[in-house]
Amino acid sequence: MLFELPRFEYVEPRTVGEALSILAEYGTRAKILGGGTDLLGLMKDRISGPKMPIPEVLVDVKRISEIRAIEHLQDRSVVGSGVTLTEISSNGELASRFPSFVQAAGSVATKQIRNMGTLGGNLCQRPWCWYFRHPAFECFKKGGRQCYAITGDNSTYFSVYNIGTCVMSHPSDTAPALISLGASVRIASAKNGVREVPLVDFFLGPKSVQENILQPEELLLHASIPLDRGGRGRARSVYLKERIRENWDFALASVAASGSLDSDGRIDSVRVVLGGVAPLPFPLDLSGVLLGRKLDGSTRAAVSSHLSAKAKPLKMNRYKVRIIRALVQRALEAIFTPV
Amino acid sequence: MGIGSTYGAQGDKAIEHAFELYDCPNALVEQIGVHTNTPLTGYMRSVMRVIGNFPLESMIDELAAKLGIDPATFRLKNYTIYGDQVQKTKYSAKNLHRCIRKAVEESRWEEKRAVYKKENEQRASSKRRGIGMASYIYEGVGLPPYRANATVEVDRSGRASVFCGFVDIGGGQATMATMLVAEELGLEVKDVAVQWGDTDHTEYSPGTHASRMTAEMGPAILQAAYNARKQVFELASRKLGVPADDLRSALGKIYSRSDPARSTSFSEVCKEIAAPGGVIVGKGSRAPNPKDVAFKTFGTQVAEVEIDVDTGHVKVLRITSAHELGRALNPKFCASQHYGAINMGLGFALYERAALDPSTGVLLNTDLHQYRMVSATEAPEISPFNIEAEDPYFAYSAKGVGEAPLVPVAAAVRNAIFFATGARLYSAPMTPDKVIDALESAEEEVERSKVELVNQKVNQKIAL
Repeated sequence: MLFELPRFEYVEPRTVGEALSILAEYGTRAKILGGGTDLLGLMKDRISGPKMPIPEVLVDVKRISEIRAIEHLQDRSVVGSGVTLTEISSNGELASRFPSFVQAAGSVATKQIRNMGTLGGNLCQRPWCWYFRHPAFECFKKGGRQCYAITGDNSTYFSVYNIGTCVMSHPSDTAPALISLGASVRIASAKNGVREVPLVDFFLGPKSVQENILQPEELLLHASIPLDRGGRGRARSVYLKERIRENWDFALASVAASGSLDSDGRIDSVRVVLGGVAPLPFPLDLSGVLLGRKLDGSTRAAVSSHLSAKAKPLKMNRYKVRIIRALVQRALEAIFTPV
Repeated sequence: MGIGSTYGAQGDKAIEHAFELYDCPNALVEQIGVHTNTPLTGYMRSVMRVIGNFPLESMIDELAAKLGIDPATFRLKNYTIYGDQVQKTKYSAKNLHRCIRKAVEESRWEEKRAVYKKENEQRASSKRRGIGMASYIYEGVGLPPYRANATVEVDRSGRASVFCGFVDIGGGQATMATMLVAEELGLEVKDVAVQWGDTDHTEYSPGTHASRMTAEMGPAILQAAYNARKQVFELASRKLGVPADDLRSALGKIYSRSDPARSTSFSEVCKEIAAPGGVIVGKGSRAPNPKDVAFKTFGTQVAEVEIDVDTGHVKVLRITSAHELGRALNPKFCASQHYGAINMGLGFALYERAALDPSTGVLLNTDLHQYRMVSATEAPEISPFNIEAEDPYFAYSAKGVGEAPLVPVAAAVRNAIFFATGARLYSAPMTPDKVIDALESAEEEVERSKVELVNQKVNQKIAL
């Protein structure tokens, strides 16, 4: 569709403090503008409803240098929410510390979108459900009463895990990677100051209209990724993504895995998070199946049956379970094959 | 087949393939139209042919597999020279057998089939490779309404202009007209200008569709140029003292065929055109195709694909395309037509789908992100071949390419998947959901046949 943009007010704060006071002043009337690759499209298409007003004020945070830096500290890296996906995917130090994060950022959409899109935007983007994105359907996410995808065409960007009121699948590539790396995010507001939240607790489930806990007056400042993820061995990580086209596509399913082996070659830490298959980045609890064991036929089989047992596919997306099983096995193989 | 509502009037074209492509005098083909409340659809390229070709050419490969015959051999065995199996109407030209052989040879069909079969049986990874083919018939030969008219003017400077009512939509129609006029008059291409796109200044021509412009306008342009050349030669005859029928022209020179030393330049002769502002005018037109001859273009494509059987992901590696077009006036332009059509056909094969909400019929993917067109990263390696053969009904035998190579892409890809995995796909686009469903059915089929084999052996033992 894409009509002209509706009329809006544009503000361009230069500091976090300035941004927070603007957000506090405008509340739900304002939206934060990063790369704009998602927000402006929604506005042009007039995607709105009782719980989704068309924003009247756009607070452009691209000029705030505090949220545009990548810092490498001794025990962690800190990536500002205004850093572009291209800046992440081309950062050498990030690539050696957190391969999965860099792979995930580099797999988003197209080069043009990665040049514009930011980490904050990738974490906070809205669903890519085609009912949500269609002005004719006032769905649950916009304040309507029902999720049209449950009985509709749910073949692509929809859930097979954690099915609820809404069956969207969370589209972010960077979120599963960051969660599997044990990242946390820092959120600030004028009223409550700064809070640090594990990224896994940032996202909300299928019964919520919002996809995350961010309040209208809050600004996501940065993600902090720790180097120590609990294992004694050297941690490795990988991000795998399956999509219909070779590029410019959201994940039908993706998997981010991080883990380490002890000196005997046994798994001593593991975190696996799925993307594109649940209303939120979906962490798997595989520690019972994998910790203290080697990756072999029986552990592989246990992982696959865990994945199948938890799956509740919709009418048109049962095929995704096969993809997920393959991706998880490949990811485990990639990080747990002794070097 | 999934036919949209406005295709109704064109309906018979979907099944035309079934009674024209193979020798089958007892064919009964039936097409049932169904009214739906879904949105109106419009024409896309290769109207009806693509959706008619997919089921037929899929079925041909299944028949060949059932009989244990190579699909290329099977196609050649059932070859027909007739455009109508009952009336026995002959084609003005048909060399589809040469297209099949060319595609087989250039794709190294037999070698690849053996290599891929062996490789797939080893199951070293989740990847399987396959090779498949599909043949097609298409237009590119002219259709009603016939209104192919052209005018060529030669002015006192010795330059020519050709006036055509068509529109060059990027297919090179204007270049085709320029080349034909330059060749016929004996001028260089730089000395020929084309006027097109505005019937205020030209006579009517057909609309630019059905890949018809070279086929239909070619003879009209050629005739107009011929009529203009005859008048130029009369002037040259007087100037050189050589009979007009002994004159020839090439690259801006007019000369005596029997005594090439007697020559002059084209522009020198044109100074004799009556002044002031005088021009020589040649007119040309092409009559409708005769009814007792069948006219079509033909071709065969071979697709090589790689399938990930765990994820249902299909990547097309290579397409070898052989198209019979009579004659390629500009071989590079013709190759470009193969590239464009094949990439578009790949969209139909793997990606493009108008998703309709099952309860309301509302179109859900109204953007080019979820209506997926082929981008550069999906484009396969393409090897185009123009198969040339005499066809007296056209200018230098030249017929159309354009939309034709779009027709068989989906079926060739589908047959390559079938060869690689045994998965039988009956619906395009062949997205991972459908591929995985077909793979699972094929896996069940294998399991069932294993069980049947065991049962048979057990029964045999009991009988003994």
